Amino acid sequence: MKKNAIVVAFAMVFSTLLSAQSTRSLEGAVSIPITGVEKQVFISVGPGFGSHQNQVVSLTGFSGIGGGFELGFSKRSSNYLKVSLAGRANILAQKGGGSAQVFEALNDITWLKGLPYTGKNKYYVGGNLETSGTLRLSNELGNNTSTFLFVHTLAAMAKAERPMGDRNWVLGGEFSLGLLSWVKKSDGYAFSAPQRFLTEGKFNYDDDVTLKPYKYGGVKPVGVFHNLRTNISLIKHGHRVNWGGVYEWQVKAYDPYTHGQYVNGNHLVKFFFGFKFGMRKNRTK
Amino acid sequence: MKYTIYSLLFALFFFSSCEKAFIESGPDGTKPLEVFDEFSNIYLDKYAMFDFKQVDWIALREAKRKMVTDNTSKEELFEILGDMVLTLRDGHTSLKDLSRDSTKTYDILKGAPENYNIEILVNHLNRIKSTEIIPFMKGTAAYVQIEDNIGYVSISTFNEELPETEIVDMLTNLKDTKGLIIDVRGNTGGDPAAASRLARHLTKTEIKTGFERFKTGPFDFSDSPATNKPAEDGLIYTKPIIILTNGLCYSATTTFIYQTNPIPNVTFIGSRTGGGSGSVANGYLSNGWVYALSVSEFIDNDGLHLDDGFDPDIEVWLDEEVTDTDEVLQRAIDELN
Repeated sequence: MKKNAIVVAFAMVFSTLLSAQSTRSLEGAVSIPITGVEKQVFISVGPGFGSHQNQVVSLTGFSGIGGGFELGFSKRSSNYLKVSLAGRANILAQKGGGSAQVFEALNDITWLKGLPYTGKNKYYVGGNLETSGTLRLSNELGNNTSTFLFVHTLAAMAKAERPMGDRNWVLGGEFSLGLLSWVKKSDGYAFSAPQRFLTEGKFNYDDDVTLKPYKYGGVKPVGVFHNLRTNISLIKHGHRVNWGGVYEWQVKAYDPYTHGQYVNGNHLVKFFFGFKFGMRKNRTK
Repeated sequence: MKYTIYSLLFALFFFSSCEKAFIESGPDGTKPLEVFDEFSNIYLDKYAMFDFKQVDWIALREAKRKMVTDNTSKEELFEILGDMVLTLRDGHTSLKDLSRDSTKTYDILKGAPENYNIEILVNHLNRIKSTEIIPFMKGTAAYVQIEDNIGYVSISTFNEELPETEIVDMLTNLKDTKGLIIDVRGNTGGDPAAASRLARHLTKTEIKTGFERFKTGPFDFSDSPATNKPAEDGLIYTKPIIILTNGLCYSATTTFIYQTNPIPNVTFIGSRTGGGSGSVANGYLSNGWVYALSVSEFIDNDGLHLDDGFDPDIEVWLDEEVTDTDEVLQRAIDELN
């Protein structure tokens, strides 16, 4: 219930952007630094904090430190396009002594349409497609040493930007709400087969029940599989280079059966660096 | 409108702290009674063989819980939970305290002799081999042709990769023998898929071997039928096969046994196996102890539960006073002649 309440609140905040349109004129407004087309190749990297729960291996969650990076390309005009690859790693522990390492690889394609709003703030709405693989390792756990989670998520997304002062700093925020996900989780009690294979009487070592990532997954809507992401950035836009700081949070949560809850969360604070190319500026004041 | 964006940014920070809402709280591992309840509920939920092992877990739990108080030390609690584990008489079920390097697990030999001596076996093979011994499975297995045109294969573990190509090489080299001895004595298991992969090359037809009964809830079970289908490459050994067993044959070796037992040209010689038919799940208790337990058991076509062991067709025991003859191997050779 709590999880669904958060998702609903997330959606309500998202929907406020749809009412962010204004017909206020440009007169007296301070423009954002870039009003032309901006393309950049970027990298962001930094430390973070992770939390993880997999009730198949423990009723108690894990938490600890780690880090992550993102490499990608973005193009901003009246709309926004981003393609990126990201990686995260965390070393986690339980209070009682259990341990886990969690590694995540992600590929993201984002496309957002700029809302027809004139003034200081710039808003975008659209969606993103994220593909990710998450591996949890706990070397002491024999057959349950590893859990794989493969996910493709189609999400609704919104982005907002506001210039700060007159030195080309831009404060930005994004949030993404996964609507539909294709999910393959590799452990039932201890197997690469999904739990339903054990429950429905379909498991047989003589059949090809393996870790193959695209076998035996299923489509799960929001409410069953949760994928939420937020991003807050403060970036200085230069002539050739953009740089600044990013705070990023993401949580994936899946509850497929009793005592099968899976949650993986990451908080990252990253330094951002972008190399611009092919930019056309159109400044007004 | 600037307040809109600041409000949205505030909302983003707020949502970032909502991660805990997704994580279900569990015990913190510091209170002995909480750890006891966590342990006993996990076993009630997942352990598959209370009926077969004739253990009333709920009654046992009630009796043992009275021994646990807030003042029970970690060592005392470990002994109490360990006693409960040993009650199950299941070599797949164990409890480990990694901080003290302590383990509670059942002895699968149950005090019986091993009925297997590698030195005696090697002495015997060296007398009777007619080709060189060829290793495979990264040296954990080997095969050789012995006297009277018999093939001999020793597989000491299924916990090593067994590629299809190595099975094909081995059976191709032994295809002209008049019979095959597969020695799995001392093989305590490993990957059941590897065991099944080998078993596929020993049957001409698809055979039903029984079913694996999975625990899917505290009082719920689900049965998955098991079959042995012939290998797709068509390389099947169809001549007489003798499989040698002893009390250390366990886990994936039991998988190999139940996949081959229904094959008409297969005979078992040696002593009763350790069993271990179930699939194993592992996890952490909230205090960091590691548990393992059987989440399923195998029941064959005749309704035989294999977790406590499998009796061979011909029982033979090793005489360790005779150091150049392995009586179990010799009986297999005699049966094939």
